Amino acid sequence: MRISTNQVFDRSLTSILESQQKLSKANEQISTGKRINSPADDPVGAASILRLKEELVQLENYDRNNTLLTNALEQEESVLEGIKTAVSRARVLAVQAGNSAIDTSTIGLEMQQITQQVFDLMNSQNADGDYIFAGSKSNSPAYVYDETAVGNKYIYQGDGQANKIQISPSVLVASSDTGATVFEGVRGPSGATVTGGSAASPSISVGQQGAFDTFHIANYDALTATNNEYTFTVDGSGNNVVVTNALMASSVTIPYVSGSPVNFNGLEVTMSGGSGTSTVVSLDPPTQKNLADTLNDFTTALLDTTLSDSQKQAALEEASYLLKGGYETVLNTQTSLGGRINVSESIRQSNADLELSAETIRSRIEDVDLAEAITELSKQETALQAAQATFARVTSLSLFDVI
Amino acid sequence: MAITNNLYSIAQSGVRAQTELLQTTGHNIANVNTEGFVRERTSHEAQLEGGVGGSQTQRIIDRFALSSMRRDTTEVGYYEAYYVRSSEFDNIYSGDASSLATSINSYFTAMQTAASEPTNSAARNLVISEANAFVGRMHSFSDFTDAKASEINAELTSLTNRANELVESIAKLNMKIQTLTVTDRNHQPGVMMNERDKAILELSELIGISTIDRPDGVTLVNMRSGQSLVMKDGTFNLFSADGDVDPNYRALKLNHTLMDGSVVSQPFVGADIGGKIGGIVAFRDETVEKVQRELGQLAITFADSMNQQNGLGMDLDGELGQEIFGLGQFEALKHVRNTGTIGGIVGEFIPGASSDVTDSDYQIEIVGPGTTSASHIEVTITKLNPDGTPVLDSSGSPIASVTTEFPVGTATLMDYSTSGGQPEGFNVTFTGGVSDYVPGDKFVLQPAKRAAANISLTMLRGEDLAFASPIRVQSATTNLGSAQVASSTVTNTAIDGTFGPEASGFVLNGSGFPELQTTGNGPAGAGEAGAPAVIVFTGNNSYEVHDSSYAGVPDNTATSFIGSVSGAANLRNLIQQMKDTSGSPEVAAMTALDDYPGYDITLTGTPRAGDVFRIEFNQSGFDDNRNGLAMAALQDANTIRRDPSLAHSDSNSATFQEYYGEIISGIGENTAAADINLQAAEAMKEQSVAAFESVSGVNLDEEAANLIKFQQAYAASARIFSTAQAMFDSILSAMR
Repeated sequence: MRISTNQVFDRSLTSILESQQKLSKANEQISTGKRINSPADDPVGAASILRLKEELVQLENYDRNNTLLTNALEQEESVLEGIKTAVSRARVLAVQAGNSAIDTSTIGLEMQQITQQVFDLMNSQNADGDYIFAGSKSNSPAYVYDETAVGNKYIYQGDGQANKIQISPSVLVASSDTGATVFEGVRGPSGATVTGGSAASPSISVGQQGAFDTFHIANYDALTATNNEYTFTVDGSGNNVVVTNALMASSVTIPYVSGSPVNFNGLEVTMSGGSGTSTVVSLDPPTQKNLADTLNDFTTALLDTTLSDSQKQAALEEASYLLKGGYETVLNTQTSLGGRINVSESIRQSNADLELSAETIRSRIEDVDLAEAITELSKQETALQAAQATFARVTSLSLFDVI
Repeated sequence: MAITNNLYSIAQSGVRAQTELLQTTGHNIANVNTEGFVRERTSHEAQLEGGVGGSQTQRIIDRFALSSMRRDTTEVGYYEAYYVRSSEFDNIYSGDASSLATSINSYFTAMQTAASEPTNSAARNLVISEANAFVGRMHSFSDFTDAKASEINAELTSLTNRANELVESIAKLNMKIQTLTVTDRNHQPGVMMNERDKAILELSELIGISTIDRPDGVTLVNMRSGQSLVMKDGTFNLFSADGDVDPNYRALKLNHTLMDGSVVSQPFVGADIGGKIGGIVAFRDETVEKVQRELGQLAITFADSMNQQNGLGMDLDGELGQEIFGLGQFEALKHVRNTGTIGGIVGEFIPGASSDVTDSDYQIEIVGPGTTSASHIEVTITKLNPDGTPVLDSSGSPIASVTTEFPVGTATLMDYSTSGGQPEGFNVTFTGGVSDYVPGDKFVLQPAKRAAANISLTMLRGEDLAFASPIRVQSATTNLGSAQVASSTVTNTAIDGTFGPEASGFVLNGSGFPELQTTGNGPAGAGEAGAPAVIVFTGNNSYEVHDSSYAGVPDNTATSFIGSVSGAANLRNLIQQMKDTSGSPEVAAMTALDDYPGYDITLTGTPRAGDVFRIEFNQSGFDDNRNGLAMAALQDANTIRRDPSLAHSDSNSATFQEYYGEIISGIGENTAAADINLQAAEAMKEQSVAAFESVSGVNLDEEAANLIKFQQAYAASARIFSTAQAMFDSILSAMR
């Protein structure tokens, strides 16, 4: 084929320019360390990188959230540990106070300190100054003490809303527990009252508190008062008591000896009289007290010198019962806290794995293989040198030089 | 005597012929670097009476190679124009620092952190600054895109002018060539033909053309799509570029001059123009305009979803959340040829409907007064792509236009559908009276195009971020059952004392703070219960719903009673279950509204008779992040409608980041394709230029050889003279 002079120059020039372009591309890849320097280098890869980077940022967020969560949970755990220790001490003191040889007022003074300590712990604040047990109303203390109040003097001001923190795309963990679940609603001992019947001066007492509590919890009707009435009637033989109730499908028959207690689900009913004698017993509404009030009422009873021994004993029994319930609630919360700390730790590890794999994939897509890129660079360098050398050789040939 | 005489004339013709040959060779050598030069050859014929005849000088040209070269020049012009601009876009949109992806990530990171600590005002303010950065990024992208659009407009105008100059000079050169060719058939007007072919080649770089060579030396030029540019009688048609509908979008048109002298403009909608102009137009339609709208759609959906979710929460001032971002209105563009000048059309996005918004344009053509009522107007709506072609459906055929009626003066939902409603996420208002709209007039609505420029940050304080849920659900401490609140949802907080369809159970109290509607203030009116506030169980699967005046005892005849459910299968969405059980006037009034009361609760565990759950406004519940988590969760929500021909659904939707990724990879794909096509076109062009040069290019060695050859022939011819002279002398001396 015929070649024009311009072609000779153009062809050499084109190959030099092409080599320069490839050299510059290889140079760019090496200097940025990236294979994809703009989406056009690999449109599909570029979209994947965006997605992976979003995932990585999210995982970092989850990690930060996780730290926040763990800090909050650990603080709460140490607060609860303090409360638990204090309540344990109070329970020991309650046992000691039962010993009549000991002066209850000294115990009362120690109880005052414990009450104050627990109250302080219940109003614990975190680093941001938020009251950790106040739920979403964390701007104000969870509990206030109102000495003028009739009945319960420690009043919960928070709500039941515990915040959740996101630590993985699908896992949200509560970062706190509210006073409503940890300290409030400790059930008092279940009770019952004689509300009618023909027996003369019947008496009732709770013989087995545990059995009666179970019965009470299962059968108390908050809406219909008559459903809580149990009628104990001595039957025709005079040797049995028949217990009837509106909710019970069939009556219960218990052997009866006049003047001796009849045990019905832990409740002991004592009445005298023959066939037809009856006593109506109603279940008392359940009582509830928070932990601070329990401690406070116990302290007051210990320090109150006007109380009779039996009144003091009754107060002591109630306090022991409530302290046990309060201690258990705190313990349960601690258990759930431990569970949550474990969850956050395991999620942190799985997030770290995910982060590693996302980073690996990102690197595989986006980063350049340096060995390959450097090989490419020297290849293109050689090509450029060759092209330049060729240019000089080819273009210097001219017939005009020899004629 | 005659012999010598003849020898003289032979010598003369030889010397002349060699001079001519040397001249042509010299001409070729001199023009070795002249652009568009085609080497020439002079040929002679021997004469019967001896000697060499007159010369004929021709350009050495291969017509096929020439038209291949023009075709490949068009391709290179197209892809080069496309690639150069596209790669600039590619770099701007993907750069880590300038990328919107970074901005979206930072925004949600700030949101996550702030939602984890809802009372931390520093974290809240960070969300606001990130939101500001997001808006700023949107604006700078929009400015960049606008700048590119106006550059393209300016470029289109200057390229159109250049094309017109070329068309005109081709036509003029044609005429001169024709005249010269007719007068001297032996000598081609090579220089002029070179000039003309150079102009045609330059034109072919700007625009796709085809040519026809006529025997009289004239070359006719047509557009690739068939329209004539240069005609045989020396007339020609010119281009113009103007923004008929959108002044910021200039479109190429060809102006035909008709027999009667009038001019008709023909636009090229969706046509293959080719060349640099075609490349620029295609880049604008496929990238600039498309990306502008897609970014707009992203801005709209982002702003609206955030606004909606923020509106469902309670801020740090104890108020219901307000808008975070503003989007503004958009006005329809009018066609220049519209005869009605008063009537306009204004569009506005419907809050909460952004998932219906698309990146399409809408052409509204006035049909005439409507039949529904005197204030209705009938129009035909067509969904358009940025380049003015109709949007295609999933099977590839254009979506049919819809003829429908709109009431003038009232904001009405833009509803685009051929079968059943397909809302587009915005309302349109015809601002004039029915008579202000002339049948045949056309308007174009571009909801998404300006949205990235119009988005603004309306929230300035971090305290206004509504991270808390507006409702609090409290289980009474006296509850005996094990039921706990599993979740509470808020879907509507619209405050409307007149109980329009969108009303919720919230109302503002005397001091301007929200609360739940009390007895007598609910949708059922005076003497009837207000908003649901108490759920009291009458059994483990039956319950009554009361308003906040619940007296403490279940009673389905009390004023506070709203409704009841017995034998519930589960404890999910208790209020909705009550609404599904028809009965009281309150329930009837509630179900008549769109979403009332706008909140609901779900319980787990087993309730006991007498258990009470109270719902109240979340007063002072500031350390609550339920709504904040919902806002942060929007990062992974499929909020954006992808395919404008289908309604928003789980399969036709994307998250913000996915959608941005699609925009980026769309630009990347276009750039990569243009790059590959450019390389291919360049290789093709190299081939065809080589083929052309191989025939028509000057080779200096060849010319050097010719130079020697012709020089020797010249000397030989001159020698004939001296021979003749010698002969003549010999005869003279013989005679002496």
